[in-house]
Amino acid sequence: MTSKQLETDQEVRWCPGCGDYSILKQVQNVIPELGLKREEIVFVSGIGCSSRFPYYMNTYGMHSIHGRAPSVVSGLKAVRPELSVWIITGDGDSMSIGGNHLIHMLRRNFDTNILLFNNQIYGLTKGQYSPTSEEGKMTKSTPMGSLDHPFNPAALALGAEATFFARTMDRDPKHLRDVLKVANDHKGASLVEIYQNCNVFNDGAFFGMTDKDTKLEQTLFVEQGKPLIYGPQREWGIMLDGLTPRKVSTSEVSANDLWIHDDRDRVKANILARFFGDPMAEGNFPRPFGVFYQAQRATHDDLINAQVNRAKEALGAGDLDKLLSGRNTWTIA
Amino acid sequence: MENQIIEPSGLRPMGTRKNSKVVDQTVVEIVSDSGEGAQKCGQSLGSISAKMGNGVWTVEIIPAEIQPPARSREGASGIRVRIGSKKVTNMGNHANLVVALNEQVLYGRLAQDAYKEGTVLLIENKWANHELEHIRNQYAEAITEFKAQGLDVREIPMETECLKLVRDAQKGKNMWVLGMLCGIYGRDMERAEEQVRGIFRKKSEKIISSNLELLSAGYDWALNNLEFNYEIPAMKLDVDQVVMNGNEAMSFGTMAAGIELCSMYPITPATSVSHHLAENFEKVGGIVHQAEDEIAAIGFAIGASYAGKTALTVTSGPGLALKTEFIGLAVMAEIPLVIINVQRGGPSTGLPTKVEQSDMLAAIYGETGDAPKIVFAAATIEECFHFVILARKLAETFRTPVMLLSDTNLATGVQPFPRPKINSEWFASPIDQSAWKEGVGAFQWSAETGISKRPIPGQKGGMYTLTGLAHDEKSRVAYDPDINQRSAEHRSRKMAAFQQTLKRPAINGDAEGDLLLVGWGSTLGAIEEAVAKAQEEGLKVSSIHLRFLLPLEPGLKDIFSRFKKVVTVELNYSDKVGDPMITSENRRYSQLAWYLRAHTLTDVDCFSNVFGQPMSPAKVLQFIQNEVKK
Ligand SMILES: Cc1ncc(C[n+]2csc(CCOP(=O)(O)OP(=O)(O)O)c2C)c(N)n1
Ligand code: SF4
Ligand SMILES: [Mg+2]
Repeated sequence: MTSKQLETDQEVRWCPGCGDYSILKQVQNVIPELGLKREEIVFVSGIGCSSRFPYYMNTYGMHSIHGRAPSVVSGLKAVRPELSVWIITGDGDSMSIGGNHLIHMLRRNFDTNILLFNNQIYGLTKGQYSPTSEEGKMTKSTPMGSLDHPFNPAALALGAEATFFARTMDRDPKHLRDVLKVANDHKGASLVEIYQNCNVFNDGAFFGMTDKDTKLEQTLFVEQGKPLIYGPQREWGIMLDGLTPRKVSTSEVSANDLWIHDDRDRVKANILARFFGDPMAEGNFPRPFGVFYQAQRATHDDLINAQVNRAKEALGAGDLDKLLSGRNTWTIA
Repeated sequence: MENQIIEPSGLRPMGTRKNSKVVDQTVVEIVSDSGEGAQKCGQSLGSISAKMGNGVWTVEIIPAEIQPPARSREGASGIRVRIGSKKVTNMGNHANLVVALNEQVLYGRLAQDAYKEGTVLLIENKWANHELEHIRNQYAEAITEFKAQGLDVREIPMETECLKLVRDAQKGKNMWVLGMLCGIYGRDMERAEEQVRGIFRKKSEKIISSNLELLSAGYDWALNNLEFNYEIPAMKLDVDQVVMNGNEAMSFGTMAAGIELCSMYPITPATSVSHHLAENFEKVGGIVHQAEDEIAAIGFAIGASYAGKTALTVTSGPGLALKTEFIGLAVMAEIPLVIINVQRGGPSTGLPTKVEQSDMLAAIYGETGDAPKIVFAAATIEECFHFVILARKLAETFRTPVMLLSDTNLATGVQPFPRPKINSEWFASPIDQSAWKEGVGAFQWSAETGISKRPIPGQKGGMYTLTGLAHDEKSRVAYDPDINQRSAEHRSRKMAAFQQTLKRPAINGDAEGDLLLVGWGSTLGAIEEAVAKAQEEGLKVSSIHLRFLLPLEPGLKDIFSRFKKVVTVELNYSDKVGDPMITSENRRYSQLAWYLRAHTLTDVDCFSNVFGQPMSPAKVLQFIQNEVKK
């Protein structure tokens, strides 16, 4: 399989310059490396600009209804665990109308990859604030500024018992590809939040973190087993003082004494998830990217099928005729 | 007539049955506070009777609350059992006999017109000597009132009798009552013993034998202390029978259909379908999935169906409302799926435990846009079994969601029917994973029938994106307005293609006359019983009973044209002309009437109500008599 073979004849209908193009490209680049057959891959989406994604993948796909892709995928995986199933969703799709299904998908841990295109706006409906928009967001539906406090997707996922959370961005193709591969390797529901620029309704929402002039200052790329270091000259590090993170100068603290990233450590993942304020504000930390957390827990697909097999073994494959002639059957002579 | 009962093994000697009166049917109620086992008692009486070859129909009497306060008027919990010499198809009219464990619960039933003058009331008399004065007074007042209303009141020392055998009369009184009723109605005590052993099969031998003793003590007491008892002759049936309620029948039907998955969110009165299913489903490889809500439940079923498995989702009113957007997707994207809606009273939370047939139009028209799908309704408990199998077949043949309607009356009613012999043709064929034929679209609609074949993930060369957007034969999003028109035509054509295979509904009675009643769903038995009586009286009345609602069965307009008047009988709301503000212009018709008026351009009238009670033959008969005389 080549990435070319994954393209379809459908005209791509995103606005020129939309971050979705880059994500599509990287997904098409990564999939051929995963050793899958095209007919055994399914992309399922909800509704939104991002959710048009399945049309552009030459695999099986479903453009379902707004917010409900996780429920469709749960049924799909329950009966066909061998398929590689990917959920494509937006910030509104997954955290507003579909919030309920997202959290249940995460706790049940079906083996699927969830790509959350977070542009902090409703793109398809032309620019209303979303559950990830910052407070005070001026949109057509909130001309005086939105009042809602935004969701923190990392904290939401960890709170919902997710077994995998990672963050990446449309503007860093290599990082995006690397994260997608790790997410796919993870057995269970892998939630990948992708910062995606909507250049029409929320242009520049992440520029500070994606633009090369400011990126190194505002972001923290975590890698398994490596110390948390960032800054244009890698001059800053993060130390853990008990459970309190502290920004330190790498010229004063040796790398061994810094916080070493361990994506199996739930406590540390929770602290990392709290690095969520404006990275430029006094006292705040940079925004983390990479795999925050991954844990092994039985997947729902495996559990269901194991239970069915156990039932068949313990009770013998069911004989319906026998069931129907159980206690409540008789003949009247 | 003297009727010596043979002594069954392990039981004490039985009393002698004297002067038994032979009746061809009777209606018995057992009412109590909830948790006193009245339903178990009545179900057992029903099963024993069915096994003797009697016709049986049971209806549960359910309070809205799980644990209403004891001795409350609204808290009546219990069961009605109608036993007949022939097949019984409905709950009948007034009860002939009622057993009450306290007097308060009877008020509610009286208000519902469950009893008439002469109904025998066997009432627990322990309240007469209760330590609290106000309870003694309540009891005394009630007895006076019941007598004044014409009930034939017999005060029975149930508690005292049970205490002779067990320390806690609350546990086991229902079995004593069962014994008493077996005595009164000449039930086969070997069958009764077997029934009691079945109920307590998971309990210790000691518990079993103490319940058996209560059973035979109740039997003896009846024969030694009551001056009446009855015989209800039974039929000889040479085919195996099964006895179950409609929800159990649907769960067996689900397995017999080869459906592989049922997803649901608990809701009364649909939940027990999945409970029955969960007991056995995994043995035949099936899955019951309890989703986070009804939307997710149907999404789950759609995901499984898209992946090639046959799926079912079960719900009731409020849950159906939540499923509508996904049903629209299933229609648009032609996803085979069975949806069972066990109707309860509505709108909103409505009457969760009571019967209504108010979801018909929601089932047919509930989705936005034009969303044709097959909708049909079971009329008997036996049909609850067979229609699930049919629903699965139709869903796959016509690549469509299929909605099967039932209701509380069928869901909880128990009736015997011939035991189905499982037929492997009922099962779904395994999914085809051979390569998809090149060039064929995922929606290659037949111009003739609108039917197309679908590729399944895993099938080489079949890749497509299923979509809820208007789409062409290749499932490509339609930017051309013609495509939407064309695809809508094909989806609608499937309904017509199916309609062409349907037969005209059978007419119960003459093909012409003064009045034709049209029913659907669980009212079948009551309507046909009333029509039979009216026909005996010489009235020119017939009835038809619709199973298919979308598409409708053929020939209706022609059938209607041969009757002076056509009236639907339904358990949903309609206005009555003459009520304040209601005129013949603004009057709202009941649902089937509305639908048939539009469909046949016939002036179809309606007889309907929403009391939350099953339709009674007496009410229908009275309606017929008034109508024909007019
Ligand atoms: C039930 C329902 N309500 C509303 C809509 C309209 N709608 C479509 S997409 C959308 C929001 C999409 O935002 P998001 O999920 O962030 O996706 P984006 O377009 O930003 O990629 C809304 C409100 C719909 N399609 N269905
Ligand atoms: S509206 Fe925004 S998110 Fe949608 S396609 Fe255009 S740029 Fe992309
Ligand atoms: Mg968005």
